[in-house]
Amino acid sequence: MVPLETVSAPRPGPLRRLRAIREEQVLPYVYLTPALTLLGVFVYWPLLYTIYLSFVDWNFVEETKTWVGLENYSGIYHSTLFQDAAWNSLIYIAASIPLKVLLPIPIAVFIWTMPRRIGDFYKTVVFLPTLLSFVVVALAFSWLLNPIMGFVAEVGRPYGFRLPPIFTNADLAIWGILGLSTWKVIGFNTLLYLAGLAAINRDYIEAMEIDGAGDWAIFRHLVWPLLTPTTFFVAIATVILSLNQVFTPIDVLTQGGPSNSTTNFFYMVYQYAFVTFNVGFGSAGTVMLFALLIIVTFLKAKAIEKRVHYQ
Amino acid sequence: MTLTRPWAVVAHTLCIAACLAILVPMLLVLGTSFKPYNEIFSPYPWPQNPTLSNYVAILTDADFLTYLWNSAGTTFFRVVGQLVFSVITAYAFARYEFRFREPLFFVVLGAMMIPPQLTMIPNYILIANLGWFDTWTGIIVPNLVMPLGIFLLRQHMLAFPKELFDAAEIDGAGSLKQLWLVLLPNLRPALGALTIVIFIEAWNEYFWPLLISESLASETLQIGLRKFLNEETGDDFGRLMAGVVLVSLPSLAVFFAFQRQVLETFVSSGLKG
Amino acid sequence: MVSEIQAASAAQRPFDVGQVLARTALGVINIGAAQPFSKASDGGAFMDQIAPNLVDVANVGDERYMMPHSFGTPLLYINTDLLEQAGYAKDHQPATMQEALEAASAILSESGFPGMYWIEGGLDYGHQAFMRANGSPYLLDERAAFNTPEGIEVMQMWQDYANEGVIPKLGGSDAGAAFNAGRLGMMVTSSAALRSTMRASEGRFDLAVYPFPPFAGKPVEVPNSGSGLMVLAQEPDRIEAAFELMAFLAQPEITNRWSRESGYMPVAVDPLADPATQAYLDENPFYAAMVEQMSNTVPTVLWPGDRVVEAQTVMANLLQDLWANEGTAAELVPEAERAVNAILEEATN
Repeated sequence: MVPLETVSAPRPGPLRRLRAIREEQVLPYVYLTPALTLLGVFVYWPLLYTIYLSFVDWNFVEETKTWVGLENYSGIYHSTLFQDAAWNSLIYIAASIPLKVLLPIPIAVFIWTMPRRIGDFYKTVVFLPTLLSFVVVALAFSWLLNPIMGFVAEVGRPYGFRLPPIFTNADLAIWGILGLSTWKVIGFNTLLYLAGLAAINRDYIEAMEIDGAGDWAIFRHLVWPLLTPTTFFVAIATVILSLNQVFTPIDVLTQGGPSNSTTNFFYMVYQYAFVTFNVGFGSAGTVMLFALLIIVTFLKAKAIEKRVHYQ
Repeated sequence: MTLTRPWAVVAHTLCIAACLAILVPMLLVLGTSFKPYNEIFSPYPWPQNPTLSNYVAILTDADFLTYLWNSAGTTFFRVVGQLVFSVITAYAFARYEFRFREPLFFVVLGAMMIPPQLTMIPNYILIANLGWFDTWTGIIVPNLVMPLGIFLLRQHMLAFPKELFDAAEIDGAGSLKQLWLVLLPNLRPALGALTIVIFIEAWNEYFWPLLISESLASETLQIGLRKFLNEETGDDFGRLMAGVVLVSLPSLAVFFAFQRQVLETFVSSGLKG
Repeated sequence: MVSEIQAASAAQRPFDVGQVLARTALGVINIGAAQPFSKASDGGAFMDQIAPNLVDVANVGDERYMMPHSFGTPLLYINTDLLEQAGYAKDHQPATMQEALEAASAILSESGFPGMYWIEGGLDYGHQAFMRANGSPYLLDERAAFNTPEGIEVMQMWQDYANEGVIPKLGGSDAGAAFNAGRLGMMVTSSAALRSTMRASEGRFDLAVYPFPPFAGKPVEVPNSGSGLMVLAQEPDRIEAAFELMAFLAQPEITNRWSRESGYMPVAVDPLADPATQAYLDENPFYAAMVEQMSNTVPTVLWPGDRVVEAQTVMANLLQDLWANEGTAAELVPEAERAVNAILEEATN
């Protein structure tokens, strides 16, 4: 990722240069003010308030808020749910990379190479899941995959295929949830890659083709490098959103079970904060979740950025 | 470019597999919307005795138009606001070098890492104090900035050759004029994708309006659909699915309207020449 | 709903009267959002119009905080087509749970479809229902008390029948869908499912609905499910108005009409004293099962403290671990009781 370099007019007179410099220094802040103000008020202020709440014992109604220090943090750390939630969170994040970041790349590239009409068809179909309410999608999947009355079991039955119950099996459930959330977001990510591909000048490709480069060589040496800013974006966004994206199917289908096999940090925090009214645990969990995401994103960004630079 | 034969086979196999995996559940949703109640749990996605009664019930619901108006209005302002703020903010980050650029960008990125469900309560208190409860303003304003959009546009702007700005600057174009005349036309694929995504997100928003809407003054379609999930009379899945199909149609229209932009090849403003 | 109440009280614009799930009632009381009924102008006497076995659904000390409203009770639903196929008369009503399970096994071997489902619901509602029906107290003096021969026996049955395939290893909504599709012999689930099940069975299979079958030799005592009304107002004049509304809603004509229109269990002292309800019952025979069971329905007991989710999750995992054959009930039940009590100990100190 090479940042756009500062634009300077070629050899302007002293007065123009002065104006340019002043603009350089003031303009970006002017542009940033509205967005940063709104983020400050509606995202960071609530976060600060949450951080504050994580250090106190409060029941939402009474005026008194007792300072309890790190008690909420140690409480949530010793919770019976913590270990499973932490481990599953890592699985959700790690598995999201191949499923949500890498899988859409061949789909997008293939669509991009196809004649317009057929490409448009595939693109539209792949994007359809993005339009639907996730609650309804989760419901539809639970019917389809129902081992007794589901369509999949029905089709397989004459061939002796017996569908195991996916969402009540501790070994399978997390993969069912991951599959569902992949199904839901793959179209969105494909669309992002298509937008990235659209920016590639097809003249380069023609030039490479004339030089006798094969499809794989063109992808490897031209398309893939030019796509890295988009890949970087998708990877970071996926890591950040991966726990958020599995929330709805977990809530509709498993509530974190069976045997804690599908719960994660986000869902655990949600349960504390909104199911059992434990404001302190909920807030402490939110802060820990935020810290975890910052760290993972930072590491990820460093790792990818290095590669981007060398290419 | 055209793929060689073996690659073309791989391409179509992958795409067809993806389409099947996507269309079967879709078919179930669509089919169920035409099913009478006693067929909803039949294993087959399509109805045996199709009925329009689920659709009729929704379209003749007196509140439906009000929900639609609230959804359309709040979505419109959110889309316009998010697009404008995303463009202008991304532009500042991608175009200029300034003090605190990196930390400020991290502030924007960091906002993505705070799941909105978890800051709902402080936000709710804030909205109540501002007197925005059960209003369009309350639904729109807290959602006017989309960090994801800023990040996406910044990535695209970074890939943009700076020579074009230089040229425009020499021509005497000011900062906003450069953005409008030089950058935006070349960002159409990204803007198209972003518009689709923002629209769908705003249109499908569920948690927030659920919390702050309490009357027809601001209740949206997504909240209206909740009527059909009702323990008292039994979940009416047929109507729910019909409602979901109807509510998805505007998103589909927006997708079709803007997806052309996404595949639009690099707009030749002197670059290709 | 819970988060709405929470947010509303935090923003100091509470609902005056709120409908709260019975199993989250203690949470609402814990955050201090609910008013005790002794604050009503009649001192809470309006509750005398509610059936005595249902009045104490959410008490703290001597104070009542909840009026039963949208209550359910677990009933036995039978697909009588499958029952007939298994060699029983269509109108055969199993006298005990053991008899029902016997019929369920016959259904499995004759039709290939699972014979019976036991409700789970709300993580551990089913555990409580079946353990208590078999004579285990579940909760005693603020501590888990299900590690008894009766508790272990029930969980062992749950594991054995699941392993045989008589009880499908499925979640409640999946099992409900299977029953509505006509592919599950019987299910024990809340009366809240009555109307949708009747509509789904129309023209597909014949349905029968009976009261919860007792475990052989045990009295019937089943916990309620569903939600009740709480006063959440905070200012004196609004509290007063809220209690007036509650007193109005507590009248037998009102609760009976609500029951007839919604399908929920009646909660009045003697619902059949109301001619309208009697007439409704004559037209809707399945409603009779619910009214009959009303007198055997007792309040759901609630894990105390603010770590209910953890306690409930331990219980949910107990069943999942039994289904996954991680051990027998005799091994896993004592462990689960210890784990729940460790949580309760910390949560109530």
